Amino acid sequence: MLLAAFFAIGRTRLTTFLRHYAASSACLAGVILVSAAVSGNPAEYAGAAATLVLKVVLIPLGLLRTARKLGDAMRLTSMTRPVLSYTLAAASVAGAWLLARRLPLSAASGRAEGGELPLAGLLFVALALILLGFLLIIIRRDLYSQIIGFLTLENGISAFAVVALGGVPFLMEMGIFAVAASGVVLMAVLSGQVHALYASHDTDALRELTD
Amino acid sequence: MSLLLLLLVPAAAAVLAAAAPDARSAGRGAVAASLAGAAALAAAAWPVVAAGERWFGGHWMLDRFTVTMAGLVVMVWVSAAAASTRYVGAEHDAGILPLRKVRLYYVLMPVFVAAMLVTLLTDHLGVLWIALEVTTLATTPLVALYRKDGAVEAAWKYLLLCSVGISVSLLGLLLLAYAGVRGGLPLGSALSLSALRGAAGSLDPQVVRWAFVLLFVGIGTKVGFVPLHPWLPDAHSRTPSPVSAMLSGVLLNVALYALLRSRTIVDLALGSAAWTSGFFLAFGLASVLFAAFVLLHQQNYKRMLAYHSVEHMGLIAFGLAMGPAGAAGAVMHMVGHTLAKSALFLSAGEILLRVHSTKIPNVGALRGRMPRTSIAFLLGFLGLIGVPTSAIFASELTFLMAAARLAPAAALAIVLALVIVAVGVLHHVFEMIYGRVDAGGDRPGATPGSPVREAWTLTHVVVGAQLALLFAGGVFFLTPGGYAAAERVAAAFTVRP
Repeated sequence: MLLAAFFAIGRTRLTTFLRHYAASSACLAGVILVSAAVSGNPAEYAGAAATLVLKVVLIPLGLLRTARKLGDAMRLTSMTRPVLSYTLAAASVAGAWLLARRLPLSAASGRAEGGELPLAGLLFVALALILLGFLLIIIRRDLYSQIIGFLTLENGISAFAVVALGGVPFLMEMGIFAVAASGVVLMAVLSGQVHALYASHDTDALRELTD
Repeated sequence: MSLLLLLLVPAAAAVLAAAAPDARSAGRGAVAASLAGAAALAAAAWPVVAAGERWFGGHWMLDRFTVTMAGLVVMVWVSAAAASTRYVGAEHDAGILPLRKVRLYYVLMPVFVAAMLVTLLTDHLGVLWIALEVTTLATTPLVALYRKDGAVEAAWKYLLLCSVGISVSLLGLLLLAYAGVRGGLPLGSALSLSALRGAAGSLDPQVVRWAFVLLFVGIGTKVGFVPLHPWLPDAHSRTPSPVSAMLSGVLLNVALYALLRSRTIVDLALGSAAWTSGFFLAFGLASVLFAAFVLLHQQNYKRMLAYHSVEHMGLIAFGLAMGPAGAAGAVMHMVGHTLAKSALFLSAGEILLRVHSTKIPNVGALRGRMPRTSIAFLLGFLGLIGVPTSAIFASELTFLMAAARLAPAAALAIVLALVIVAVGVLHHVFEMIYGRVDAGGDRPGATPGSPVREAWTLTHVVVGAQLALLFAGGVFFLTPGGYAAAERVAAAFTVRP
């Protein structure tokens, strides 16, 4: 999951980029599945299935279709060169490692309390995903990458929920899913409007409102 | 029961608006729905106000603080719906908004209100988070309603920044729930605000601290604290004015409410409010000072109002850092800010309809052209900068007096910023009302400055009522009974050492 997100940082073709995201989401679904097996909670199986359908299939395909329909160049732009991007990504991952060690969560996970956090090692992965999501939003200049950055961030939070709480109640999870999905749909619609107005997806075009 | 009704009314309103045959009936439906909502809230809130008890019905929670905030939401809903009939109607007649968009507008408005009410009333962290995010999702299309380049840009920034912020706050909420689970609560109740509050003593302070930092940054983005504010002036200035009034007048308060609910738990877990107060003080000061300097040279009156929101959220945060007396002041300030800001945005809408520009230099001589609106606009600004007997005067007096004892240097900085704001804002407002008219700003056909009689509209009635409440509010809050009322509301979220 982490690897996929990590290498996505340097990618500049939308299709490849989305494939990385889908791979990362598939791993997330796997994590939820394992957690479900550990806890034996049937609601979590449903969560895993929903992740699979929504994040691995529907969202990437949907984004790709919007992009195709608008006839965009499939090249995305980055503010930094690939090498620097990877360096920054590595730095974020390292930062996540440090953070995961410092967070009171992981300190607790080693202790007894009946093996409360079976997936505690994943805490680091979750945090790294969140930081990578931020990084994507910051260093990328086009709207699609920012959307995927947001999605990566969201994946990280889902992973975090699994790690910290062993999954949230089913209805709440579905609610979060619905909200995230409609957010992405809105983002896609807006990016279509930006495209119609500026004929590009470069956020440099969005510089009018400043003080 | 009446609580359920309160949430069903907006739902019904949204469905009806989707099927509205024309703009006028959609507007009437919205007003009727908002009045019905107000009645439902009154029915639901009455026992709470009378008995002063918290009331939990399953996953819902009402106390005096909730009732105050929900009252403000519904009040602004009624005003905005009334003003929308005029504003959206005029834009529809002028051909700016086609019927499809008018319908969209009237569908999203009640959805937005319902999301805010759920945020206020829920006792469940997950529902709270979802409702808060729905407020963003419901208003993004409203920000992008005009589809001009600036509007789409504003909507993009708004959606992305607020979504990311809200995601960060979800992390904080999860951590809080985690602390609850470790403190011995079952997972179901670890997501309940009241259960967490009850078990606050057993929460791990270290985890709770991390949770609060994430919550503060996340929800603080939605409140618009500097430096997390960049979306706010754009989004608030690009929407139709009645929506600006709702975004600025109540949504910021609602976000702050969510933050305060979790802050109470954190304070209880840590044993005092000192640690969290530090955050409110730092971000409050930064917001007030930053906004003060931006306001000096702002050239767009809707953006000017939006930066005022940044300033006032900063002031409220400052008040919240100043102990129980400051918290009472903050409650007064929330009330005053809602009244003044919605009145001002609604008046700004009237000006925009007439002048067709949001640039201050394009506006002038409003005194002669729009006598009623210009008086409302001036009074609103006087109330906003804290002239007696505005409620904002009472609140600033209250928390500055508390601050003079607790943090004199910060209080001095705030007073200085308030003076800068007052000077800068009055300069702009006088320019708009008494200044000379530049050519081209006025409606085609009317010579600049010519006395076309201004019609008395529904907006004026609403704004007049709000201004009356604003200036009466200050008197009320300065009486012992009024102060005690504010204190009782503040007691719902303050932790005494």
